[in-house]
Amino acid sequence: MPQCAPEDTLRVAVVAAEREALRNDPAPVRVLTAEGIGRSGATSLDEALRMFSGVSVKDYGGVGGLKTVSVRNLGSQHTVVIYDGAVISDAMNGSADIGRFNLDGVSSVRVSLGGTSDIFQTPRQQLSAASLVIGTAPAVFGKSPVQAAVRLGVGAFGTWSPYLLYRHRLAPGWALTASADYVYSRGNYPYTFKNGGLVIKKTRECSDVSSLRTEIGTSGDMGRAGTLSVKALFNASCRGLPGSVVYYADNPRERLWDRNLLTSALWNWNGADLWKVRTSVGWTRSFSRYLDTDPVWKEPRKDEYLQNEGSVSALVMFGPVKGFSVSAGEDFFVNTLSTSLEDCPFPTRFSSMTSLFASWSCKRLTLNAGAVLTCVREMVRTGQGASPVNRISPSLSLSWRLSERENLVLRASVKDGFRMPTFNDLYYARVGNRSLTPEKALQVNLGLVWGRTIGCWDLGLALDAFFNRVRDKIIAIPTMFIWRMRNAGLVNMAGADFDSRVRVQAISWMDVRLDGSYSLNYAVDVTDPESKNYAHQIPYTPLHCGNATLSVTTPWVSLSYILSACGKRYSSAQNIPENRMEPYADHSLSLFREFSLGRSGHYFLRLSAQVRNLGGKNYEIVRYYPMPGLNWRIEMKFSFR
Amino acid sequence: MGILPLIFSLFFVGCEKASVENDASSDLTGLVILNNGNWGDNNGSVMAYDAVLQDFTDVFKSANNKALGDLGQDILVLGDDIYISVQGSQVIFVCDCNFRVKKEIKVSDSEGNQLSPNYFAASADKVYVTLYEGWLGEIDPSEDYAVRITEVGPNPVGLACVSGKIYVANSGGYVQYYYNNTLSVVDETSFKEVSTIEVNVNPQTVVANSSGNLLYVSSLGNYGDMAPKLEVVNLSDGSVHSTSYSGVSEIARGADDTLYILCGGYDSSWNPLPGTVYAHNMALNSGKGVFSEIKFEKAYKISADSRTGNVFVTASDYKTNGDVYVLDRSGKLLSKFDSRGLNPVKALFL
Repeated sequence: MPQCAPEDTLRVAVVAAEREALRNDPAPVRVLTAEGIGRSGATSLDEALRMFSGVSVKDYGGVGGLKTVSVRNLGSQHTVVIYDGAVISDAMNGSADIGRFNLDGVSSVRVSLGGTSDIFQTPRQQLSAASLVIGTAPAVFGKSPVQAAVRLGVGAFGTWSPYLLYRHRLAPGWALTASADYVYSRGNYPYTFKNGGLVIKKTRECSDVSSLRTEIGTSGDMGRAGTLSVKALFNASCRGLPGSVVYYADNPRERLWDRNLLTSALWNWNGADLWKVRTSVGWTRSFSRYLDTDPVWKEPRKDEYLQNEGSVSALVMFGPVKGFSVSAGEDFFVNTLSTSLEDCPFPTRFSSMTSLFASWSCKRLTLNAGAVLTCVREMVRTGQGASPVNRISPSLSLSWRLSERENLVLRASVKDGFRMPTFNDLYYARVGNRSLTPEKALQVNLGLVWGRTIGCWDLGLALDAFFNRVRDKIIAIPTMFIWRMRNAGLVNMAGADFDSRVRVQAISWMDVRLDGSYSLNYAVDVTDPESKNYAHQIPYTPLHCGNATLSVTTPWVSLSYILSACGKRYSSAQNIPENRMEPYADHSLSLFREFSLGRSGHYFLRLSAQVRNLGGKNYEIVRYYPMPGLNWRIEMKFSFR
Repeated sequence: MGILPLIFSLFFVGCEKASVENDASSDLTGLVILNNGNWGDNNGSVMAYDAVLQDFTDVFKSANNKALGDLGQDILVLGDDIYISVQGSQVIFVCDCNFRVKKEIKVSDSEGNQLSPNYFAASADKVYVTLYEGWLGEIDPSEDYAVRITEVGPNPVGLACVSGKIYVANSGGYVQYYYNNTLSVVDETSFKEVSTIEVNVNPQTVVANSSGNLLYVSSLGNYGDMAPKLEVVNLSDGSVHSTSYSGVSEIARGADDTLYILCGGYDSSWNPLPGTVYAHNMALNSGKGVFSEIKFEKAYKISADSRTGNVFVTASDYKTNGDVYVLDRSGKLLSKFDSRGLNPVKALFL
């Protein structure tokens, strides 16, 4: 048996952080820490999310392609995305594009699904079927009051991504952080497609993107008065929309411009271990402009959309006795939309979500229970607004450590959440339907989590079986004349997520980890027994999918290999050969090393190289949207801290 | 509660109904269906009845080893040629009687923009095609299918050739916010628009009667306060008259100067109502009442074969393969089958 490396305090801390990934909360939580992000070699959020079981990223391909995240086939509108305490919302479409986030400065990526894992969460997060929370680390200064980083990334298909970060200690405990992150990609990647015996070899056109993301914020520790963080984020992007690959024709002419500003202030306070308080205020303004110069329009089509969201949130947790705590929260937010479209009714939505949760834990049992009360009222300038919504969404979850000695935990959760109809569902010219009700999502999860350290081996396993049911699914129903949005779908889903992790540190200078996950998803449309797709697997839902990550960390160079594989699935409702999409596997390999420059211990250089999609096949996640083939990226990051 | 249908569904997945429910006396040999497919999905198809398999197979794909493309819009037979317009793929295929492509026609305007072919109409020796970007194309089979184009109104769809003139319905579906309400009248010889006729908004299909004095125009309205209509244009004086049909969605020209009218709609909670087919005497401009007693669920399109007298009604939910009902000229159902493709738009006997 090999000699185990001596324990040191740093390593213990790392192990503690790493164990987060296989947590035994009452409901499943997938976590990637800064450590894990660094080790995986992932540079964008969607790459990181692909490593999570039960989480899928819908990707239209390329750097600029829309990327949305959904959990266990519930639809991306059921996932709330939160960046540093601020909700990234889109009341018009209902789902956020996560393509705009890179992982520089991100300290944790966390997805909760299936139920209530933690009672200290905002009502908005408690209500959503799933939440994706992106956190940034507070600045920790050494001797120098200044920290800075410069990065330059260069990638295939004309991709450039410079990044700048500056941090300044304003006063003890107070820091100013400013960053700018720019991405340009021509996105003109070649692809090969087969149309029967015809081989199409083309280059993706109109797939360019140029995107700037800036962030400025200050955060401070006010001692007994808590911590305060105020920040503003500004994004601007311009991109081509390449559309699907159309046989015999290829002339995409659509473009999209986005500008959004997000401001938020967050105050956290802990009182004598009895009280925990978090309040925030925020305002988001999102503007987008769409242009289509297809000559089928007499005049080029130009649409403009402006959304605003103002929000206030308060969350209090009180733990009067050990093992028992209660939390109460209130989220109040206002959304508006104005568009240049015909018949835009200029809706204003007032939403209030109130939560009350309690958590009780004794030696081996933890029980979380509570409910969220949602009240939504809507006003429009013309006609009648959508029907008011008043709903109570209960949630119950528990974890039970089965054995005193063994780290084996059973968890079970039930949650009845919903998503609001989007502004498009309700008001989009002619198609919208103002009498829509929310789309309900019931989630049931039952899982087992086991972990053990045997010598230098660190092992973890988790198996979660789930059942979800989506009622009143909002879908478009055709009539002979026009489509209408209706609450007409019923989908049953059953499946399982399996996660495993192995870590070996047999020799002191080498750390080897292998994480694997597998998901089984049976999700069938049971809306209409007369319909030809009755009991057919819903679109874009593979029965089997999985991924594996191998990382080897050494002082000389570190390596990460990520495999994600997806079984056959169907691009449309009916499970017939014409709609079948072939399985694919995506392999990517990263090599990186961080150097300490000079003797001062303040200057660091990180070099990384990544090769993605080693198989080189232009597989599709969305049908007729080919993904880039073999592509590479190198990155140089210089930092001072 | 929720688990029960799930378990049941597990058992039923494997079973499938027979695709063709046929009256023993009817023969489907020679029947061809054009499936439109779904926008952006490259799943337009031409299906032909295979008497051995007793099912429909993709005849275009098997003849050419490639798919038809995106949005199969119209199919027309002239002489030995079969013309197929594929709107999304912006191509017209001219095929022989076995559906082997003999000519691939791409049409572009003077600025080099590719144009999207829609519907066909034939005169004695030419084929006319509407091009969605606002043009009418003329294909000359005797000149190796050379094409010339002339400007018409916005987003032309249906068209009809009547005594030296081509009447084109300008839907204006892509003029932001406003539909068009005109027919362009194009002279065959000069190949220029000579006049326009005002009709209801969003005109779609144009059918002339056999004596060529009346033109029937269906229009979809603006999907709001302006209702769909069937109008009759008296070509001798240019006057336009409404008919009393309500909820008109599609019309088709059949045998014996009969116009078949598919009507439908939806109830107050947006549930689609089944379609009803009416017959109309085009020579006398008089209604012949309900053509078929069948209530066509998810009715989609209607087409008719003026040679055999058959009427075809298709049904679609836009997400699963459609159905085709074959009726004889008395309205009796001869056969109903799965179209083996999405959104069947047209059927005909070759």
